[in-house]
Amino acid sequence: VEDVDDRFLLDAARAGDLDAFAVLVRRHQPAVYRVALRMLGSEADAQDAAQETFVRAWRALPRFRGDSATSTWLYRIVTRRSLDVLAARRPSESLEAAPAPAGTDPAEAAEQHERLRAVARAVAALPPEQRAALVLREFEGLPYDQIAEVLDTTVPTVKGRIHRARTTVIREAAAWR
Amino acid sequence: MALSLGPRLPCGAELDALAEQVAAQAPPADPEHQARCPHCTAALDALGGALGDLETYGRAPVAVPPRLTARIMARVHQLADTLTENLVLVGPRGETRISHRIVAQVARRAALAVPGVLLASAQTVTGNPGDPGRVGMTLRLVIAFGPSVDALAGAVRARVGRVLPRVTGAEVSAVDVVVDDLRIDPDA
Repeated sequence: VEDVDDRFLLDAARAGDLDAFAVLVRRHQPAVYRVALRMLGSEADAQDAAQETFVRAWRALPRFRGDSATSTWLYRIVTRRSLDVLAARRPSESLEAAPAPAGTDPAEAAEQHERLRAVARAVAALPPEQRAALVLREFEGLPYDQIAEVLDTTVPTVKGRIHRARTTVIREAAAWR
Repeated sequence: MALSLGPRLPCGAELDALAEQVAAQAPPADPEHQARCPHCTAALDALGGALGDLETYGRAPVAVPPRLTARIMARVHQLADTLTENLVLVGPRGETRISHRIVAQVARRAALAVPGVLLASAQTVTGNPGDPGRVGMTLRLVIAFGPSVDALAGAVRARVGRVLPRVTGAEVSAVDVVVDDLRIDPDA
C-alpha cells in the first residue's frame, strides 16, 4: 500500500477512507514536522502544528483538487500555521532547537554544538517570512518556484528573502567562530 | 573562541557587505584589498565557516516523534466520527450502532482478500434514511493484470456481499465496483 500514488490515496481519503489518509500522514509527516520544528523551535509546538496541519488538510480534502502537488499543499498549510503561531507569540518567546552534533571527539562536538546553536538562534531571530523562505530552501531543498507557490508570492521576492536571511544568519553566526 | 566582529572591520570594510558577498557566493567587490587584508581574510573565513554551519544545521536529521501519526489520526477519527452516519440494527433487547466508517473498513478488507486485488477503498452509499440497517457500497480497486477484469469485479462483489452481513449484520443493497487502475502484480 505504501508505494501507491498520492492521487489514489487522496480520492480514497476524500471518500472517507481513513486508512488511506493515515498512509498520507505517514508519508508526509516528516516534512511537515521538520518545517514546523524549524519554524517554531519547540518540539511540543511543532507536534501541535503538525497535528493541526493534517486536521486542516482532512477538512479541506473536498476542496483540494490536486492542482498542485500534495507536498506543496501540505507545505502551504504547515507554513501558514507556523506563521500564525509565531505571530501570536510574544517577541521574547523565540525558541531555537539545535540538533545534536554528529562528531565523536567531545571537545570538537561541544564546539560544533555551540556553533549550530548560534545558527539556530540566528534563524530563530529572523523575521518570520524570511525564516519560512530559508527553511523551505536550505532545509527542505525546494526550488524557488515551489517556495513562491507555498508562500503565495513571486520568485524574485523569495530570492530576496532567502538572500537577506542567509546574510543575517552567517553574519550573526560568524561571531561564534 | 569568539571573534570580535564589529559592523566595520579595522581596515574599513563593512561586515555586512562581506556577509552579502559570502551569502550570494558573489565575486569580491575589491579583490585586491581582500586578497592581502588579514582582517578581511579572517572575516571571510568565519563567514564561510558560518555558511557551512548553516548547511550542516539544515541537513541535520529531524526525528519524528514516534507517537505523532497515532496522535494525528486519533484527532482525525474523532472529527470523522462526528460527520459519519451509523448503521443501526434494531434487536429485541436494544439497538446496535456501527459507524459507516467501520462498515467501509470491513468491506475494504474483504475486497483485499480476493486474489488479484492490490488496493481497495470502500465508501458506504446512504440508502433510505428510514431503513438504517441497509447500506450500499462503492468499492474502488486497483487490480492486477489478469484474464478477466469483469470476473474479478464479480468475485469482489460476491465476497463483500457475503462478508459484510456476516460481520456487521448489515443488509447490503448493492455493491458497485469501480476499477481505478491496473498494475503488474509485484508478488506474482
